[in-house]
This record gives sequence, structure tokens and C-alpha cells, in this order.
Amino acid sequence: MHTESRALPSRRSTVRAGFLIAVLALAAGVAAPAWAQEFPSEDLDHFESKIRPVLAARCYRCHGADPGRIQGGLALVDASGVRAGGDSGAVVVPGSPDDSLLIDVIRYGGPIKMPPDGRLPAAVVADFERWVARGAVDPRTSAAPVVAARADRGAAYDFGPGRAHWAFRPMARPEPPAVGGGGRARGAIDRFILARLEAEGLSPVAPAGRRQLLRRVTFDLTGLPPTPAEIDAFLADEGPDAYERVVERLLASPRYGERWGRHWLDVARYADSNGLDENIAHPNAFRYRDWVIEAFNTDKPYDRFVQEQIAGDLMPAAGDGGRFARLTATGFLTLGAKVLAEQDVDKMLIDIVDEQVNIVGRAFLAEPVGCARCHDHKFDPIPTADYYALAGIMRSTKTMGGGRSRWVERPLADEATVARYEAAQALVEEAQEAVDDFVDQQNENLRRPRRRALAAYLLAAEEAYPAWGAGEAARRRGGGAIAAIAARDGLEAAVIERWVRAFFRYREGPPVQGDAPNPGVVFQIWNAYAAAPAARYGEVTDELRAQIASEKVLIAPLTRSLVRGPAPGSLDEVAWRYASLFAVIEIAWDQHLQRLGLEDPDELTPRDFRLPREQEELRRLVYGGRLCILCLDQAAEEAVYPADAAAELARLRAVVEERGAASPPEPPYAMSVEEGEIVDLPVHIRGSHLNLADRPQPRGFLRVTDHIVPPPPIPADASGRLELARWLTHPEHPLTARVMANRIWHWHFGRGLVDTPSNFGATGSAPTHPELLDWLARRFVDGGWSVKALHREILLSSTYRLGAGYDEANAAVDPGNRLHWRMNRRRLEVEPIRDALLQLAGTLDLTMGGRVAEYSPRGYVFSEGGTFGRFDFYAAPRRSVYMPVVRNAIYDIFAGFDFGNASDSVGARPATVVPSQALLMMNSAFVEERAGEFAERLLAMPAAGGAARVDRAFVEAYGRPASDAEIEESLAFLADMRRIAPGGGEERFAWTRLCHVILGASEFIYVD
Amino acid sequence: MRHPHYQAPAVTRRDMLRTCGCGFGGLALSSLLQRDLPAAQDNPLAPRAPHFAPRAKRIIFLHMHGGPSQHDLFEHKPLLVRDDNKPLPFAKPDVQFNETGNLFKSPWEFRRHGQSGAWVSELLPHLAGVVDDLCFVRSMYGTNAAHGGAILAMNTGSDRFVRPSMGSWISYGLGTENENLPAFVTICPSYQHGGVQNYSAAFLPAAYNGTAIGNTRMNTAEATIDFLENQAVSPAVQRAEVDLLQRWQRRQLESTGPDLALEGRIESYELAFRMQTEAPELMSVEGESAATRRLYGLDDPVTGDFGLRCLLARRFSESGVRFVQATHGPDTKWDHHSGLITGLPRSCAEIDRPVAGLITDLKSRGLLDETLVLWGGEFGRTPGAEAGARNGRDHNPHGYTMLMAGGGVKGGHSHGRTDDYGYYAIEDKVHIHDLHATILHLLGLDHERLTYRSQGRDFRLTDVAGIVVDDLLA
Repeated sequence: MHTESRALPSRRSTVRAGFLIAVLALAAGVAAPAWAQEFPSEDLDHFESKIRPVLAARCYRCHGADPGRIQGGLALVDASGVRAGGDSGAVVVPGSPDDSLLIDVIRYGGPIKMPPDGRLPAAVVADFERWVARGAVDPRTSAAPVVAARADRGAAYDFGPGRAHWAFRPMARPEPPAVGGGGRARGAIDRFILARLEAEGLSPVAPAGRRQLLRRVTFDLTGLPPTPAEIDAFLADEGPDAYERVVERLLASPRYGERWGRHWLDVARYADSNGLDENIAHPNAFRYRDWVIEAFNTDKPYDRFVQEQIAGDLMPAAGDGGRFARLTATGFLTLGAKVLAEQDVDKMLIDIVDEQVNIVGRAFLAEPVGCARCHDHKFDPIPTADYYALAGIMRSTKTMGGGRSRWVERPLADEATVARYEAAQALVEEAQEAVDDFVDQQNENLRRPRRRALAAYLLAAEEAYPAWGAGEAARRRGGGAIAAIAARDGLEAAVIERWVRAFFRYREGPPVQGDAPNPGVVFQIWNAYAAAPAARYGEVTDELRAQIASEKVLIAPLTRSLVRGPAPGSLDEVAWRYASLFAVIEIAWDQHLQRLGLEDPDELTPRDFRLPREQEELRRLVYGGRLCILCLDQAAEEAVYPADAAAELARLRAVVEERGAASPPEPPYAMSVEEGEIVDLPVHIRGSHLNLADRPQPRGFLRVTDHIVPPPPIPADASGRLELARWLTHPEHPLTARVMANRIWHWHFGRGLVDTPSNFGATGSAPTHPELLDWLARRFVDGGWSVKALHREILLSSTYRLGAGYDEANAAVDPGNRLHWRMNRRRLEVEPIRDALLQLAGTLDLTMGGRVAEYSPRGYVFSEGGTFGRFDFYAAPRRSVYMPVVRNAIYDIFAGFDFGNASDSVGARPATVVPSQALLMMNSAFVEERAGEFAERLLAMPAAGGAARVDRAFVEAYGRPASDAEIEESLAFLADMRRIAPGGGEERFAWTRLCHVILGASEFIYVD
Repeated sequence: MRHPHYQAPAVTRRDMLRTCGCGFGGLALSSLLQRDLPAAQDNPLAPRAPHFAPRAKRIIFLHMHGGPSQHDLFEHKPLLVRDDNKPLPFAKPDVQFNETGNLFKSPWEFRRHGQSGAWVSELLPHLAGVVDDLCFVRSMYGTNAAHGGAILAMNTGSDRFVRPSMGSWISYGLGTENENLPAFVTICPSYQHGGVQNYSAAFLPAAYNGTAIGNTRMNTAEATIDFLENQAVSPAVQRAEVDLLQRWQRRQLESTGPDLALEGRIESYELAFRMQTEAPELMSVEGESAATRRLYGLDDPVTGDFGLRCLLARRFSESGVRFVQATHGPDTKWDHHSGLITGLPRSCAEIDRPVAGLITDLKSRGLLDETLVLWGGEFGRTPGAEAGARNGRDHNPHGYTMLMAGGGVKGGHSHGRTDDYGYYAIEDKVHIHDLHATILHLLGLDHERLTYRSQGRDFRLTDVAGIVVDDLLA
């Protein structure tokens, strides 16, 4: 339904034509008599008595009483304001009420309705119409006219002051300063850092110890703790480049991409479900995640990385594999949370565009571009026009309307493969249809006689009803009664029983909620007669008529005719009345089917196979479906098929099986985008899709960098995504390289040189080391945008290798360590915490990629019964990056440690310290189980004493041996625990408790 | 991204205190704060002074998921009765959820009640008994005709974007009154239609997230808070574990020099340990008198479950939780597209006695004056029958009724009006933003000054709109 992109219609074209006239009139300086200072007294009276009081009472509050807060850019407190109009243009066209926006809005007919707190009485509206018709005389003047600031300054926008902001200036080529420092500077980074420290009179602390450094760099690059073997190897390696080789080993590990890919997924607001209003699965999002991990592992140059996410589908690729990877990359654009149940499709589409403009701005440019949706950006040089230039690119891109689901998904298979699959599936469907048709026909053969005997079944069910009841005994008794009646009357016992059960459920069970058609509603009248002796039927009829009139009791509308006319004399008569009602339905249904038979079968949908609602209510009880009381379970029906029909059915079903087996597997699909219908968007005044500017804004980019990056022209037949990708990755772009270099620094040190990594604008922070940032950005671009090269540059610096020690003198000057006199101690993110727990438990599964769990496409994520209805959804001991990210129902372990809600791009994860985390570590089954497994591994160490086991536990958890005191305390604790352990398994109990303590302590989740 | 609580990894004492807060309760670091903190407001959940004198200290929001029909409960419209079964005499909205048919008068009788003479239908006899404490906002309106968007709008002010919930904003604005409890609790919330988003802090610090107790499909008696109970070992064993762990953590702290994160973590274990006993006590209603239990309908299987949600709401509120939401469910229990005639009486029966009981109970405890009770759904319903069958009504965000009580609003008062058929709000209209502005005002907060800097700009619960509805204020 959202497939067609199209030019946005102008919703108020007539009104707008009016604006134009007014604007032209004003522009031409026509001193219309209406605005002259001499007014007919009659018009003045009208204004003073009818118009001014209403303006003052109902309009001034938002339109001029407080000049600092004028809504819609429209001031109405004096004549000049009325003349100037607002963001939506002129509001009054003198002499022409129907062309005046003011009149339009007080009529409450269009998208804008004023005053918002309630409609003006019709007489007042008429007063305003008359006022405008007679020239809109307005004698009000002010010494200082109140004129509102406009939302959009348009072409007059002055970029000059904004371009002076540091982030929009061209990147410099700074030389690393010369420093003393006693040879502490290993490279350029250190020289920039030391120069600042020296300038402030600070000196760095001692370098980190080898164990500390190994634990730090291992967690940093792989998100896992070093193993005892890795620690021993590093400690034993006396080569001068031992550390360099560790860095190379870690960068080459597939674990690296899993760790750093996850960082990017934070920025990309990656999730496996939509979130927001309709939390539906993204079953193919994982392909984008795996693409990101792969991109980091193969060190895909960052410019390519950016380009493919924006326009991968438009870039040439070598072979199908390359093409599919690039399609997958554009999943970036479509992963955002969408309001999927939005009934206003235009609103939905522009909101999706907004989300895309925002994510591109924040992820690649660290610019909150979204601020300019409603008005020129208040702090940064981004006019609304530029926002809609970018928005036009996204609106010309098709995000919604793939056939398989509402968002676009594209097959990762060549056309022939897709065609083969579809052809095979068509054959399967054809065979299935043959089965369905045959079953329908056979069932109909069985059900037609039942419908004919409807009155008899109704009476039989009522006769058997008293013998029925809850419980085994009553059911047996009822079964006997039913069998006897069936034999006596020549009816099918199973059908009577089904009917009795339906009666029982609706008569004895709770009131029915939801969809109306059901036996309870249709047989309400029957129930009333059946419960009374025939002598009371006159009264029952009156009571039923009263109930029908009150509408408080639900009675199927068609059955209401049953109580018209004289009261029935007997229950038999009621049964015959029902039977004739159903006979009418049968005729109606036959006629309906005949009519459908004349139409093109391909045009028919399941909706067509319905009678009008009131008839349909009855039809469903006798023709099929869940509620049908004349239908048995399919298996029961088939049991009484004639032998030749049963054989034919088996043959038809075998064909379905065969064809299914012969079909190639379903090709994989990826969330992706494609080029849509090309459209330039007009500025949406105050962000509203119902209030559009006259002129479309040509697709384009942020103009603030035009003097540095020449904007590539966008062809008329292209969305402009390819050009956007090129513009973003221009080597001189002042933001792209700086932003990513800063992110990498941030992820290594826990804080960026700019500590607002997704906001380089005026409201963000300034860099602590601007020259270093530019040096890194240049190094990044000059090094072919290699991320791994930048890692090496940073990891091999002395700055990175500093200890985390405290220094009072330094802390007095720079308590936040913004100048890097030591390494920051960091709380691990939740992924390494969970992965480390699994590694220590010995159960970490290092399988890469793929879906961890299957879930149905577009399946809902209602987590009351576990995520996707499953409690074990997160049980797989895979690395955390592969755990599904379910928006609005984040895995509780993740939610506990600041994972965030995954709907929003996250540049800097918080690291809160809250009691709920202590509760999680103390009480969660996840930690408890890992502690038990860790204990078992320790107990399985061959021929080790208690002290050796404790020592081993410390090495695994903290990367260091236990101290004598810790060993002593642990052994004493173990002894205590053995004493109070439940019988049997004392050893395991005691060690589990000790492991639980070791895993709970801060040292496990902090890295120095 | 920079904001008052911005988290940096290696931080000053002051920085640390800003972030090292209390996801669960306002209890984090209380001893630290008392020791030497000059400004208690650095603790995210420390009590904070409002902008001006508040009329209410706390809120209980009883959310009727699905959208109750005002036409069958509160809106007595003679013309709807007169024109029953005729077409609507004016245009339907451009965007509708489903097709609606002819006008459909309520099958239930209305009577005037109390001194205020407010109209209430026979479906809500107990609420009718407290109408003089109720403030009827009859002219509510929003824009979104689908549940998800409308519920998000009701709870977060936005049906477009991920925004902090009302309870999170209030926790941010006022902190918690009780350092042993969260500031914002939501009892048995639904995971549908925005789910966690409806009680999430979004870009506000995580300390302002709502704490969920169970979910809407649970028996309330079985609802708990995540990780609050230890299933594995006895309290004595757990204490021994925490003692050893704390000894190691203190030793680590001593060896590394001042570090507020490590200090905070030590504190957080003690606080968590205490919480384990205190919160479950609060959630046990065994100590409540038989009379109180009856008042909430705990003695009746029909009212028992929502009654318990209401009673828990009172207990949390009484203990100082700023914002308590209790959701009536499971699922969209008020979404009567069909099944109105059997379903609506059932939904009403489930909540009527508990809601009236809550108001009565608050009043008798002297708490109603400082507790604002809010009752309502995400929208109302159409005066026309849905799809022609006179057994249901469609979604209607254009005009509906919400109830308020206590906490500085007029009792026995009726505000605003819908048209003669109850479709559109037309007089003294109250947009959801206006409702939010008014709620914040009652709590002593100026909705235009309660801002938070994120993504480079200041956000508000009321976006760029919202007008305090003076007429509601007592």
C-alpha cells in the first residue's frame, strides 16, 4: 500500500493561489485602499466591535502577546503583522475571504484549525468573512511593530558565521610538536599529547604493567579477556616487538570484527525488530550486522564503508557476491524504528525520511541535521532548505513497499535463481489448490445433508443437552444420550456432540469478547425458548422483543425476525423457524457463488467469499471455519470419505509433497533500498506534511561545506544517494574523517578528543586536542581510510600504554584526565561482560554470523510469553553481538548494563553504576549458571590444590594471580561454604559460591 | 549528547556523582552524598525542588488499554439518541482506522449523580458514587487513530519519535521522595503498542527509566521486579558472599587511589542487598485490612486482579513513588470494535469498584489532595457503529473523555465539550500536550522549563506546544 512514491500534491492549492496574489500585490507596493489610513466608519465599527475583541481573546496569546514566543511566525497584534503573514505565507487577501488562510483556518475545514482550543461560533466566522470581504480594515498600529522571526530564511541564508565553527573549517595539516619528555614520545600522537601535558606542567604516570596492558588491549580489540596461555606467552616473550605482535595477532583475529562491528552497530541503531508502535521482527537485519563485522575484519576502507551503506545498490560490483554485499550494506538506511501502523501514509513516509536524514547526519557527520526539519537550525549553519534538499534524496529512495513485507527487502540471488524458486513455488501452490478444492467438494458432500436436517440437529442437541456437562462422567453420560438420539433419528452423533459442546460453551462459559458471529449470539432466541415451557412462549416472546429494543443483549440481527408475528407454539416450531432462516442463507450463498463464478477468478480475494455481514454471521455457523457447528475436524470428516475419494486425496497430497521437495530453497533476502520515483520536496512549514511551501527544494547536500567540498551535481533521474555518498567521502570533507577518527579514539580511550562523538555542532564539545584530531583525520584519509592502520597508530603510542595509576598533582590540575596523563579505567560494556562470563564458564560458542533463532517474517515481538513467545530466546551461548536486539524488549542482561533501547544512534554508551546491576550480578540465573560452570572447570583441573585453583580463577577473571591474602580468604570462605552446603556436592557448592564472588567483584568488569 | 548527566569514563568526584545514580531507586550513594556533597541535585534521583509550589506530589495513572467508549460511559448526548441509526450529519475525519456506519446510541442508561449532577452510565455504578471527586475532561483530543501511536503520544508526547515517557520526565524533574524505591513504577504494563517505550527514559539518563512490575498478561499476585529475588542460595550464604566481595572491592579501591565508580559500586551492593527485603514487603498486601481489601474488590474474582493493581498503586504512591502507572489488561481490553455489548460491561465491572475504591481510600487517608489520579485510554471511540453491526465502535482520537481526581484538580467538575454526537472535541479542547502541561503544572513544574539537552537541542515532554488548562485547577 505504500509502494508508490509520487509527487506530493499541494493540498491547498486554491488557498495558495490566493497568497500569491496577496504577495504580488504587496511586492508591487500597491497601496490598496483597504490598508489606507482613512477608513469608512462602518468598517471601523465592525472591526472594533466584532474583530478586535475576538483577536485579543482568542489569538493574541500565541500570535504576538509575547513577542519572544510567536507561533507559526505569525503576529496578529497589529496591522503590519496581519499584512506580513506567517510561515505559511499571507493570511489575509483583502476582499477575498475564500483565498484567505485566516478564514480557511477558522472555518476548521483544512489541515490547520484555529483557534486550536475550540472552534469559533459560526456567527463570529461570518464576521471575519465580512471583515475580509470588505477589505480587512485594520486601524491598529504599534510604535514597534511585532514581526515574528521566520522559520526559514531561504536563499538569504548567510553561512559566513557558521563556517567559522571549528568543525566546518578545513582540516589542517599540523606538524607534531617537538617535545622533551625523556624519550617517552614514541610517535606523533605522543608528541601532541605530551606537548599539552608539558604546557600544563603535568607529566604522565608510569606505563602499564605487561599483564595490565595485555588485558587492556585484548578486551579493547576483541571484547574477551586474555586466556592464561596468552598471558603466559606474552610474559615469556622477551622480544622487543612482543607487544606489536600481540596487537597484530588481535587485529587479525575474527573476534576483532565482532568487537568493533558492535561499536558501529551502536551508531547505526542496529536492531532485529522495529520497535516503536508495531514491534515486528526484522528477520533479515542480521545480514547487515554480519556485513559490518566482515567489513571491520577485512579492514574495508572507511570511505567505501560509508559509500556502500548509503548507495551500495547503485555502485558497480564485481560479481554477484559483491553486488549482494552492497545491497546488504544499504540496510543501514532502513533499520530505523518506524511507526508502522500510522494511518496517514504521507506522514509515515516523511517521518521515515526524517529518520534517515537524521541517522546520516549523526552517524557520518556528527551533525544533528534533524533540528532543521521545522526551522533553520538554531545553532548550526543548516537552513531548513538544506534539510529538505537531503530529505528529497531520501524521499526519492524507496524504503517501503517491498512485496514481501512493508519495508523493502531484495533477494540476494541472481534473477534466474529467484525465477526458478518462484516457478517451483507456483507449482506447489497449484497442487495445494487442487487439494483444497477437492477437500471442499468432499466436505460439502458431507455437510449438505446436515444443513438440510438442521431443525432435527437443533432439537437433538437440545434433547441431549441435559445429559451433558463438565467432567468425564457427564461427558460419558452425554455421549450415550447423543448416540441413542442419533440412532433413533438417523443423524450423525459427532455432529450432535459438536453442537452440544457449542451450546455448553456459550451457555455456561464466560461472556464472549471480540468478534460477533458465534452460536451464543445466533441462538440467543433459541436459548430463551428452550429454557421455558411452551406455555410461557407468549411471555418469552415479549421479553425477547424488549431485549432486542434495549440492545443490551446481543442478538444476531437476522434472528430478530424470529420473534415477529405470533409467538411459536412449540420448540419444534422454533426449530423450523431457524431452519427456514438458514435455508434463506443457503440460497443467498448459492447465488453469491454463482455471481462470483462470472468474475475473473484472479481478481477475487478471500474477502469476496463473504455474504453481507448479518448473513455472514449465520453462514459461518454452517459452512465452515472455526465456529461452524455442522463441521467436524478435518480428520473426522476424512474418516468418513468414500474409499475412492480418500485415495484421490492421498494422491493429490503426494503431488504437493513432491513438488515441495523438488523446489529449490527460498533465496535469501536483505533489508535494502532502491531508487524510487524522483521527487524534490518543498520545505514542510514547521515540519508539517500538511503545510507545504510553494517551491520544491532541489535535492542536494549541506551547503555549509560548499567552499571546501564542491557539491557533485545530481542527475535528474537519480535520487542523489550516489552523489551523497561521494560528497560525504570527499577527502577534504571537514567532518567525515574527523568524526570517524574521533570515534575510534573514543572507543579506545573511553572518551573522544571531542567528547560528544555524534555532535560536532555548536552545541557539542570542542576538541581537547584540535591539532591531534586533524593529524589523525589526515593520517586516516592519507592511509587509504584504513581503520586498522589508525588502530596501530593509537595502540602503539605511549599514550595508550600508560598505566591507570593515580597522581595527586596531576589530578589537582586535570581531575577528569582530559589531557591523558594516565589511562582511563573503564567499565566494560555488557557484551564483553557477558562474553567473558561465557568464556570463563567454558561454554562460549564462537560460531560466526547468521540468525541465532528463527522467527517468522513480520512476526510480532510480544514478550509477555518470552521474546517471540519463547523464554529461551537468549539461551544460545553465542557471542553477544549475535544476540537478537529486540527494541522495546531488550534482553534483560543487556538492559541492566546500559545497552540502551536500540532505536536511537548511540555515539557514547553510558557506564552507570546502579544497584540494579548489583541485583543482576547477585541474583540472575545467567550469572549463577556461569559461576557453576566456572567452578566445574576449576574442579576439573588435574591434581591441583585449593590454592592453585584459586590462583587460576584469578588469572582467568582478572588476568593476574591471586595475592596471598586473597588465597587465604578464599580458602576460609570455601571451608565455611562446605560446612553449610546442602548434603552431597559440598565441593561444587563451595566453589560455585566462590566463583560467584569472583565474577561479582568490580575487578572483573573494569579494565585498567 | 552533552547534558547535565553526561558520563565520562574517568571522572571527577562531582562528575561521578552525577552519573552514579540509582537505576532502581534513589538509593544509590546516599551515604556518599550525605558525606560531603554540596549539592544533592547531582544525584539523579535526589528530591529536587519544583519550579513553583506544587498542588500534587505524586501521580497514579490508570491506563485503560484499548480506548474506552465515552458514548457508553460518560457522554450523554440526546441527539445521538434521537438520530440513532441515521448517518452522521457531518464529515468523518480524513484518516480513519476502520469504516464506521450509522450513529449508534448507547444501549445503556445514563443518570445524573452526586451534587455535581454528572452523567454516568449504569455500567459504572461505583465510580458514579464518587463523581463529586472526579474532574471530567470531556474534550480530550489527539491525532493518531492507531493504538501504538496514540499510546506513545499519551505516554511520551510523540507518535513519531523515540521520546522519554511522562513518568521519566517527572522523575527527572522531581527525583524520588523515597530513596529506597524507584521514582517511577509501572504495574503490569503491556509489551504491545510501544511496550517498554511507554515507560522508557529514551535519551534521559537510565536512572529515569520506569521500573516494571510484571506485565499485563500476568496475574498481578505473581508480578515481580527482575532480579529482585535470589533463587539459588539462602540469605546467609548471600551475605557471606557479599562480605567477601566487599572486602576485595575495598582493597582494590585502597590500592588504586580515589575512584568514584569503584566507590559507587561498593555502595550499590549494600543498597541492592537492602532492597531485596524492602521492595517485596511493599508488594505484599497481606497486612491490609479486610475492609480495605473489599474496598478494592480483592474479594471478587472479577475485580480482584485490577483491584490488586490499584492497591499496589496506592502502596507505592503512599511510600513516595512519584509516578505509578497501572494498566488494565490483558491486551486491549477496551478495544471494542466488536463485542461491545458483552465486552464493555465486563471491562467496566473489572475496574469500577477498584478505581472508586482507590479514590475513596486515598481520600480517607488524606492522600487524595496530594495525589493526582488520572484515568483513561489512548483515545475514545466513534459515535457511529463499526461496520454496520451495532456491537462495536471504532477508534476516535478526535474527542474523548479522561477523568482526573485529587491532586489540585476541581472535583465534581466538567471541562470542555464534544459536538452533539460526541465525535469531535469542539469547546475548550484539551490536546494531549495540554494535558501533559497541566499535569506537570500540578506537580509544580513549568513544562516549558523542564528541558533536557540531547542531539544538540533542548527537548520537552510537550515538544513546542502545550497550554496549561487553568479551568481544571482547583
